[in-house]
Amino acid sequence: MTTISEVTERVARGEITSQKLTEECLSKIEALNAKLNAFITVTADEALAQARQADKEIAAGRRIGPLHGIPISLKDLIDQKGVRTSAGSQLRRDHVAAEDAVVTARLRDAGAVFVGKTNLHEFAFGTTSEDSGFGPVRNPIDTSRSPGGSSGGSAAAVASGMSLGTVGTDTGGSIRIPAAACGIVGLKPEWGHVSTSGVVPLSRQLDHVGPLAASVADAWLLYNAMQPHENQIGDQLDPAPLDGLRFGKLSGYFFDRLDADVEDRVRDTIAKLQQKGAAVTEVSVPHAADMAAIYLHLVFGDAAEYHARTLVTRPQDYTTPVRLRLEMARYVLAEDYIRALRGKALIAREVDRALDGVDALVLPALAIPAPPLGAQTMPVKGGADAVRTLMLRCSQPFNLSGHPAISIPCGKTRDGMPIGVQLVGHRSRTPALVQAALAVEAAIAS
Amino acid sequence: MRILEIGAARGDVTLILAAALAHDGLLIAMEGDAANVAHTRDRIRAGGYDDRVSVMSGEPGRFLHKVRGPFDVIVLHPGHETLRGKLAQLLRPGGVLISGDRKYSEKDMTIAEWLAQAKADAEKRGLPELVPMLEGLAKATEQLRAADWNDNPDKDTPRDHD
Repeated sequence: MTTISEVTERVARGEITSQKLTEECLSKIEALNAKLNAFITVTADEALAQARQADKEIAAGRRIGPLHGIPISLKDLIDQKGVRTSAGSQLRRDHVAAEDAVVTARLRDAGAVFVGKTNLHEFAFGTTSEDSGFGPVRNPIDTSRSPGGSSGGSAAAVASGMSLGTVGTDTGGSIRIPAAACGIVGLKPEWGHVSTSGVVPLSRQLDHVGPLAASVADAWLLYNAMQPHENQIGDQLDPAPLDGLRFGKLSGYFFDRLDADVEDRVRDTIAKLQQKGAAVTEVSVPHAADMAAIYLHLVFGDAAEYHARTLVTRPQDYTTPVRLRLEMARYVLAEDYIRALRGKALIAREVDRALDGVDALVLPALAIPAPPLGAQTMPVKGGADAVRTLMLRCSQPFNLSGHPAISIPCGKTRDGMPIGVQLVGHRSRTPALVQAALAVEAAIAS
Repeated sequence: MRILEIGAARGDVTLILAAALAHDGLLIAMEGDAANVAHTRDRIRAGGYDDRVSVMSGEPGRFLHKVRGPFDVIVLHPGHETLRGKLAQLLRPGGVLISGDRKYSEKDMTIAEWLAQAKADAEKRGLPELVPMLEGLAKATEQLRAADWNDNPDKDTPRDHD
C-alpha cells in the first residue's frame, strides 16, 4: 500500500503530481469497483479539478501541508457539499448534501482531494457491510468475504489503493473492525474529539468519526487535520520508546472467544513488545460480560428514535435485515435504556481504572478474521458464536467508555486474512496513544 | 377497625398503620425478634400510639393461637407466608389480607410479560419475523436487569462512585 507520508514528500518536491495520484486512484476504482463495490458515488470530475488546482498551488509555493493534493474518500454517511449522502440506503438515494460536514470542510481546508463516497452497512447499522441498499461490499483480500463494517467500503478502498486514506465512523467498532479485517490502520478518536456535525447518526452518544489509513502515521495526519485549527499539534509524531512503555493486557472476556489464529498473533505481538523492553501487566474490566447487553439497548433506543418516522412512511426503502432490526429496536423499554445508560457509565469508570498505571491497553481489535459473506456464525475457541456478537466483542467497550482506540495490522491467519491488534489510550491523551501505536507498528514490522 | 400485622420487624409499617388508625381502633403487631419488638414499642410510644397499638413479642407461627379475631385487615410480611391459611380464618367476612412481599424488581414489568406483549404486537403489525429476534433481545434485557450494578430502593443509597 502507498502511504500518504511517503507520497506527500514526493508531491512537495514536485516528483509526482496530485493529478497523477488522483488518476491512479480513479483507475483503480474503475478496475476494481465492479467487483468490490467499495464506492457508491465516484466524484471523478470534481476530484480531478481539485487535483489540478492543488498542483497549481503547490507549484506556486503555496503548499498547505501533507494532505494537499492527496486523494482520499469519505464514508457515504458524511456530507460532502453537492454530492449525495446515501447512508448506504435507498431511503436517501436522492439526498444531496447542501453543505460539507465539519470533518469534510476541515479536510478540504487541508487540501485533500475527494475521489468519492464509500459503501457501508445501511445506516451504519451492522458490522459486515453486506446489507447495503447499494449491494454488499467485498473484501479486497478475498472477495468471498466481508470487509467488515460498517465502514467496509472505506477499508476496502484504502486496502486496494482506490484512495490513500479515508474517513469512517465508529459506533461499536465500525472503523476498527473493517481496518482489522482489511489489514489497515483504523483510529477511533476519543468521543467528542472529532465533530459528528453533518454525519448521519446511528447513536449520537456512541458515534465517533475518524480515519482509516495505510499506516499509523497516515492515520495521525488525517486525524490531526480533522481537528479545529487551535487543537492541531503537528503533522508528525515520534514513536514512543518501547522500553519505556507500560501496556495493560486485558484478560478474561477479551481473550475468551477468539479465532485461534487471532489469539496466537495477538499473543505473539504482546510477547514481541515485552522482548523489546515494554512492560506488560494483566488488567481487567470486571463487568466486561455486561457490555454487549448495555450497548445493544443504547444503540437500539437511539436508532429507533432517529428512524421512527421513516420506518412507518418508507419501510420499503430499507434493506429487510436493517428494517427488521430497527423495528425490533422500537420494543426497548425506557427503564432498560436507563439501566444501560448507568451500565455505560460503569464501564467507562472500569476502563479508566484498567488504564491506571499503564500507558495503553492491548487486546485484539477483532475476535475473528473477515467472515465469509452470508455467514451467520464463526468458529472460535470453545464453539461457534453469532458473527455480529463476535465482530463487536473487542471494539464496542470503548464506544461505551469513549476512550481513544486504534487498530493496527499484526499478522495474518493461515488463510492469509489480516488480523488487528488494538491499543486503547487515556482520555485527553490521543497523541500519546498514537506515539505508542507508532512504536508497536514498528515492532511488528521488525 | 381491628388490624393484625404479622412480622412487624422494626415497626416501619406498624407506625404507618398506627397513624391511620382511629383512637378506638386496635392494631396488634406480632414480631419474633425481641430487639425489634423493643425498638417498635419505643417508636409507638414516641409517636403517642400506645393507646391503640399492642406489640406482641413472639414468633407469629407459635403464638398466633393467642390472638382473637376477627380482624378487618391483616398485613402479612415476607417470611410468614405459611400462615396464610390460618390468617384467613381470623379475617372478618369481607376483610382484607395484604401480602406485602413484592420487592421492587418484581414490580417491574417482567421480561416474560414484556416479551409476550411485544410478540403479540409484532404479529398484529404483520411482522412475524420479529418474534425470534425479540427473543434474542429479551435475553439481553434479562442480562441487563440481572447485572449486579443495578440499584433499587432495597439497597444502600447510591453514592457518587456507583
